[in-house]
Amino acid sequence: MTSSTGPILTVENLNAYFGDFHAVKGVNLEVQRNEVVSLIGPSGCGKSTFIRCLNRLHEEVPSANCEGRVLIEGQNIYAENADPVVVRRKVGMVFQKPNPFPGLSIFENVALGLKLAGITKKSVVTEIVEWSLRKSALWDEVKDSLSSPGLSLSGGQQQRLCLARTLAVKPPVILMDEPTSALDPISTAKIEELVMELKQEVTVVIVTHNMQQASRISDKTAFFLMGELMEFDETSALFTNPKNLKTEQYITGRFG
Amino acid sequence: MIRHVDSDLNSLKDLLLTMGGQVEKSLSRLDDSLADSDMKSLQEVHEFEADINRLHLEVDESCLVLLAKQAPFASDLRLVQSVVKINTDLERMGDLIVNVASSAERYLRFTVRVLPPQWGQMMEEVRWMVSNSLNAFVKLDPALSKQVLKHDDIVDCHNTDLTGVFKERMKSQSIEIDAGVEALAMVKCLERLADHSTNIAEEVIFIVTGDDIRHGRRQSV
Ligand SMILES: Nc1ncnc2c1ncn2[C@@H]1O[C@H](COP(=O)(O)OP(=O)(O)O)[C@@H](O)[C@H]1O
Ligand SMILES: [Mg+2]
Repeated sequence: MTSSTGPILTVENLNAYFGDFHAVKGVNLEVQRNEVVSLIGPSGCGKSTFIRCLNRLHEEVPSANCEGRVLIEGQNIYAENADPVVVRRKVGMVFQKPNPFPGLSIFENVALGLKLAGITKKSVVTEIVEWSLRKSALWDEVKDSLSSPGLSLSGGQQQRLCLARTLAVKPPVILMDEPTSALDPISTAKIEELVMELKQEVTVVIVTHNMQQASRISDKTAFFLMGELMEFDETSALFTNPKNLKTEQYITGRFG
Repeated sequence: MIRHVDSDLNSLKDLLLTMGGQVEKSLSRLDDSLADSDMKSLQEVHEFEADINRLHLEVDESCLVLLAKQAPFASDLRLVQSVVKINTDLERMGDLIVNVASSAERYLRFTVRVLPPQWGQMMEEVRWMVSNSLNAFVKLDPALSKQVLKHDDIVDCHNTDLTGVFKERMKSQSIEIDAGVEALAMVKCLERLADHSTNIAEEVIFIVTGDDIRHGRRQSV
């Protein structure tokens, strides 16, 4: 979906707060195109807060704010003239709990984002909806029931519907916040396969509690602790020979 | 914090060390028998092999179960991978000791039975290396491992010297060709035993530091 070179995502000295509480502390990070990056770390270490800063969702929380620079394809999403709505179209997000729009059909769930983005020509919309549902490996299961409510699907299917909805506007970056923690192992495996497929066209940053999942699907892994990025390395290196003692302790379960 | 995986890892280490202990005993029996030219106790060396082979299978199986059950990471993962490799080394060491015993049985049938004093020195070095590579594993001690690696040079010198000695004796016909061939095989086996000890020592360094120093990849030794 993008052609230029250089990192797709650059985070420079990012700090995030909830009122006085300092939740993300001076994080620097660079993500290359077509990479899958996992974020791991104990609950409350700031993973969700961090990724919510990458598409300007963090500021939606009252009293929350952040400082620093986040460049998507070289453009600072916190620049004066940057529009959060446009940013969120470029940086899609899939959440822990599948959240299809209630009251909308399967088709409408995927098409809504297109409508908001100004794409209304019916043939184009139909084409992109099918493309998105195929990309999220849901097409075969729903092609005969596109007008059924999105909420009539199983949990795993709903999560793939949310992924299709995100893909429809063709964002160069997709953020996922524990997208499989509410799913059974088979649905989880499907999402994992999808992530690995999707990296041909998008860059994925995924928060996961499952270290096996991080080691299976990601190229690089970032370990967060108490708001700080402790270690960021090739996944293969981080899980076999971490450089930071805290990382070692966390991934071998020697924590606390 | 107490981790469940620790009890599995400790049992695995214990099992491997039981196997290492059998290798040491088998080598010690070999050494004593040769020192006394005692054919009867030499045959007892063979009895250790069955036990070592049984432990070889048991260690492999335990590693497989541990990997499947615990899916270990970082130093835990390196430990299990190294145990798999050390297990192979120990099994080969068991075989080599039996090979020395078999060659020695044939060697001792010839009239000239006396092994040169340097054989005893080489044996002593090899026994030191075997036992301290296992000690290094028990204590996860990279410094001791490095000492083991250094001793390999001494063994190599003994190997060269003894090979020369036996070749000379064969040329001068002070021993029969058949005896010389067995003696050379025995020396070669001792040298290989030392090599397996260095493998174990290198694995210990890998477990502790994550550095792979095999094949001269690091100049840190
Ligand atoms: N809406 C909020 N208001 C105040 N504090 C919050 C809020 N959301 C999260 N926090 C705090 O910020 C820290 C980081 O939270 P979070 O980013 O959700 O961690 P993680 O995703 O790693 O579990 C935690 O200490 C949490 O309590
Ligand atoms: Mg979270």
